[in-house]
Amino acid sequence: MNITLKNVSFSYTDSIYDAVLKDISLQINSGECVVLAGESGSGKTTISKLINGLIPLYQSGTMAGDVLLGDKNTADMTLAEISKHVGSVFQNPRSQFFNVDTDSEIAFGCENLGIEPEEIRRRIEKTVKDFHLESLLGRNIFHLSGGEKQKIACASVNATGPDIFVLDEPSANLDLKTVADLTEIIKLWKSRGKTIIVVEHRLHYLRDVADRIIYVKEGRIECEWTPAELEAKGTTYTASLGLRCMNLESLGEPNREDCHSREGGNLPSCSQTSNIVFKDLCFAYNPKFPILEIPTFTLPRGQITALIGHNGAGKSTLAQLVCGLCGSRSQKRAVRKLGTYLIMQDVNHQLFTESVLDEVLLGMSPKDKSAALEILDSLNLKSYAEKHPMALSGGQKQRVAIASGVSSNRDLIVFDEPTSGLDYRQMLAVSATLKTLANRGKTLFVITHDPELVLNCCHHVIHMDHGRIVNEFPLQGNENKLIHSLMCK
Amino acid sequence: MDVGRVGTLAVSTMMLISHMMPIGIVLYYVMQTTKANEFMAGMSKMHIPNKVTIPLTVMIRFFPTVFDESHAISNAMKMRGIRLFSLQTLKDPLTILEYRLIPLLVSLTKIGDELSVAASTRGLAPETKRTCVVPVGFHVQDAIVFVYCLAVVACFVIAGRTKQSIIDIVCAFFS
Repeated sequence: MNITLKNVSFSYTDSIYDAVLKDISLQINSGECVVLAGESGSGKTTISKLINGLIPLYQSGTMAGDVLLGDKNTADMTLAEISKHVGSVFQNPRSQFFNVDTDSEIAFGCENLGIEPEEIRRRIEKTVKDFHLESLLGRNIFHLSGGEKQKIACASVNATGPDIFVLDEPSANLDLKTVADLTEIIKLWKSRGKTIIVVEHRLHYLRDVADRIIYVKEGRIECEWTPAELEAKGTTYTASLGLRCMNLESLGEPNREDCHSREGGNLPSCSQTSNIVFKDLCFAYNPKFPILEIPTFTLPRGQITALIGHNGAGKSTLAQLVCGLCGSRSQKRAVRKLGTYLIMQDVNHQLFTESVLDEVLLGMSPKDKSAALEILDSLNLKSYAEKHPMALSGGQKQRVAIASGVSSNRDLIVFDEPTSGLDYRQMLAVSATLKTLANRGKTLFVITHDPELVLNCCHHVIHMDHGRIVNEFPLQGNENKLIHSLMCK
Repeated sequence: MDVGRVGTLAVSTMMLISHMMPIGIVLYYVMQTTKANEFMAGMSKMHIPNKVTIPLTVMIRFFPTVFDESHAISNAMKMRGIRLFSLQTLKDPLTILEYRLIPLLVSLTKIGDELSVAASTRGLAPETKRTCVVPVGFHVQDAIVFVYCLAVVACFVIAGRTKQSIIDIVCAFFS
């Protein structure tokens, strides 16, 4: 089924002058795999919403132009009708489920279409076989890892048998190994002649499946390449557009000029003064099956250490132990003395007060306004001091959370995936913030799947698997090893 | 601090909890044992319109999320050193409520919106007729439970009217 966008403009407000999409025309042929790339806020997600009908049928706003699926205008259809032709997978695995168990979730879309139970069972069986989901059946979705959730989301959409798949940043919360599974799923759809539209920052996993990469900037389609064309232009070019790299292996090549120039501030010198040593970090829900068993590990003071490993390796548990959020009483006491602070992945959870300044003052004792302002200034937040934290952008919120950690005088700051779902420029901004903190003498511990972040700002890498540390190395000279560890090869 | 006001508040909270408890227990039981699709199939068999069923189903899905989010927020509060009982919170008990509720409301609004987007792109709409892979129907077991519940309610109503104890009524019924 062809998709045609004819001179489409869209604005989330009443006025067409605030348009996020400006006169977009686009033709996507049946069986094509098209990637919509661009910086955050460029309007690429809005284009995907036009195709799955959320605009104009769910989202209110002002729209001009026509979107045609085949020869039908989406404005004349209902969302239920569109859902027969278009299946959507979203970024956040936790909020796209309607059921609590996996089986019902896969059946959900089919049931909504009113398909006979016999036929639904047949389709589920086929989907489970195609996607190798046997081990995931009958499970509680809340207990699955992010990658497994995303697979179930794809399976559920697949079972309804649409012609068009729209994926909105499906890889944002996934590790590189699960991302490879996602590539396989997209390949399978393509081999069956489905039309696939992927909105993404991360391009490397789509290199072999995409037919076209369309670059969206400020609500317009700027250019269009084949993956080979874009790859040939090099990492520096893609980075200048705010896109993530096309080829992960090339990142591992030593002496790559743009990785060693370390954009956005210099790294603090590597003169090792002392280490923070953790001993006997163990954690188990059931004593027979320990989730985490680490006899000892060290973090060099004043430097940035990356913690890598695939989803479910125990990274978050380690972070929680290090921050005193779980573990035995004596462990917690030891951690409190040390002073640790966790910046969560969803920073919305850790902003409590009515203004950015209050947020920083909250953890301070004694309350020192000028010191608070100084911290805000160092994180480029001074002009927002009186704003409500919830009114800020994602990156700003994250910096407010960091500021509150700094103000409470904690020396070790732990980050839980600070760059998931960020474009290249935003990733650089986070990386610059991390460097600022390290320069202030803080010790940083960063859980991440993001090779570009690690290459940009980290000194050391710790690789975890199955609750144990399997490898520890300084980054300098080991770039290749890093990429291989991230891909779990 | 006004002890009288706090006392009244404490007592009325207790009353509220003790009265709401049975409702909470039933809700918890329903959430633990009933899958969303079975619930919807059952409701549609009872000819209850989708406009009523869909919001109720969303609620079933929403509660576990509320607990999940609330747990994450309490972790964040621990990290910040905001404790339930401290000098600060005793002075101003409302702040603790604010710290707890604002992040929760913000994230729940977002999740709620994302959930309804996901549901509507997958064809859940008031006007469509759903099927269900799990056969749902009214069987003998259901009839037995139904009659039993009716009997219990009847006992309580009679007990209330005649000021007799429940045991007396049950004995009188069987003798």
